[in-house]
Amino acid sequence: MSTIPSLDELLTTPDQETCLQQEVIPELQTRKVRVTDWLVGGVYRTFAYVAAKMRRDDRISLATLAAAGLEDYVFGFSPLPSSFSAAAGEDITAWAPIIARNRYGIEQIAATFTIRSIPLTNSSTTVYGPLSSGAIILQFPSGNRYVLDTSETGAITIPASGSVTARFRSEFASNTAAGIAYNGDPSGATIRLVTAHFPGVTATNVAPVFSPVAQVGGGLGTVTPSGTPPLAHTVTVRIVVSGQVGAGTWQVSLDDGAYSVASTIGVLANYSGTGITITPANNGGNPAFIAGTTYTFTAPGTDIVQYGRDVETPQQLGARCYATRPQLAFARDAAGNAIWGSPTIDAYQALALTASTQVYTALAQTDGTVNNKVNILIAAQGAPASPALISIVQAFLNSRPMLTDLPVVAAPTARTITLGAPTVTVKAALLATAQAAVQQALQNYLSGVDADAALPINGRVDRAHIIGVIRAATGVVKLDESGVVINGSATDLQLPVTVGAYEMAQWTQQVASTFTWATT
Amino acid sequence: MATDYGTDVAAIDDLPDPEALVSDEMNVAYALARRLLTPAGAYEEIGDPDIYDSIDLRDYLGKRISETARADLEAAANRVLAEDPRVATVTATVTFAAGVLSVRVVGDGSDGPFSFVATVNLLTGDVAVS
Repeated sequence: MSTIPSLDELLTTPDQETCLQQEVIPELQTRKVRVTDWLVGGVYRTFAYVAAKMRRDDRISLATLAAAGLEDYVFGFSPLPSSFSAAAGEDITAWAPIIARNRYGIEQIAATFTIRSIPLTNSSTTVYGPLSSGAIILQFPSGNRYVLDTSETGAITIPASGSVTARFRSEFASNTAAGIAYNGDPSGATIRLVTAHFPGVTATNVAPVFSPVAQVGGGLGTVTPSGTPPLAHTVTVRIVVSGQVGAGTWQVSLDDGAYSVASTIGVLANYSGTGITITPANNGGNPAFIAGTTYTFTAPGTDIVQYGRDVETPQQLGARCYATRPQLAFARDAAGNAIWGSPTIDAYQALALTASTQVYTALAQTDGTVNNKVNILIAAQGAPASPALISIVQAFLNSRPMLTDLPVVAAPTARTITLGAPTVTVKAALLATAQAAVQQALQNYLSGVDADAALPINGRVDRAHIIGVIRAATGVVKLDESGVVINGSATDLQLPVTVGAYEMAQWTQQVASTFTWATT
Repeated sequence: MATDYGTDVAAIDDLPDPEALVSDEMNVAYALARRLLTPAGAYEEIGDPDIYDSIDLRDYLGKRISETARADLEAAANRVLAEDPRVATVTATVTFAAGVLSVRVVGDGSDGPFSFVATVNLLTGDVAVS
């Protein structure tokens, strides 16, 4: 190495044998060591190996420090040079949280738990409780377990011949790479009580007819949905003119469509034939409804109160960090004072991801029709965002001056992905293992959490990657690629399918029954 | 026959200050003594790929030495000493008296006979080769 090492030299981590032969022993020869005993156990031989080991450790430290200064390496956007030995176990992306915190003031988003609201019904005449966190453990058909969580509600009591709704937290925080994922457990599942101390108690997670109504903006007025809609819908009500019921005006958007013509605030029975009745109430406010405020709900709702998510990857963290860079370049007024500017598209995405840990992916795009409108599409891990989550992010953005921008947060539409029935040949003894591995790999990819291939909102469903993950699954020896079709076509599927829409993939098939399995 | 077992630092469990070297019969004595004072796997930990069997007599520091333990120790000492490539034949005799563990070694090797006594004071941890 020259006196001032080059970057290539700094990023090179020789193994111990190389250090020994090319650096330590030549140095000893230069100094004419007087020993002749070089058998294992010899003092000088031991010196040489210890020196070589220390030298290698130092080179690794130097290379790590050098690489840590190059953020594309730290955030995993660029692979480390081959001279930076991965065999030594160095993982420079482990520095990403430290770099993000110290250079950008951004904390890595930790993995979170999935939280569900589940009614417990007691058919016995025994009262159970008060019960605190951990007293009840439930198990879903997937094998996922949930633990009673009373940290926010206080201890619960299950009444005799009655029911109580309780919050249950997933056993572990989400870690999809390790096969730990909870958001996919469906509503209406057959739930088993693992804790056997409550005879007569059953749990069910039937989805409510409607989600809670998410309000963005001020006003005491409330909007309450009712009815039994046969189909799934998203409804947003926007106040146009402030006022009471019967005085102010509002508009309704059905399934993210255009807003209706403004009408006087009042009961909307069986709105647009959906089976949904929308009932406003003043709730003591005057004016109860404030212009600009929106109320959003979906039908059906979900028992999920909080979507769990994986820990933010170094790449995701890096994208958020990089998105802050344009914000540093404030424009200045005539007096030289920095003035706030509207965020860039990247910054909008970073803001959305920062607003709530439940936001796993975000896409910001300027609207194709309204000049100042910025569409911000957000999704939880493997699921579109709930109205409550949308309201959180919208309120987060509304609390900041965006000047002429009008950011509007929404959830992408779920595009159901249907795979064909390819023939997969596996080793007979590994059939179940292979099926589970393929199921997990495809679930990871199509829910957007595959570390090797991102599938963002409006992304491209890559047929080659699907083939790749099937082939790579444990036990798979052959795959009939011609059978790998995505929504009826043996090509990639570019989202959105509906032009102008925002779509995210959603996949619920079970490969064990959908694919054709042959054994060898 | 003259002995030529090479030259190395006169070190057992520490480096001499000032530096001193040992050669020939004493060098092999020191080398074999280090086999009796080196924890198993120590050289593997620093990356030396060659096999090196050893025991550490200091493992017995503060312990009682029963006759069974002494016999086991003697067998282990004979085994690890025989692993040295310079050794053709070797006999190690272990004795324990007054808190001092002594290993008397007599042998013959590729470059001639050798003998030495390694001692470990099991109360103080002091070691010596003579």
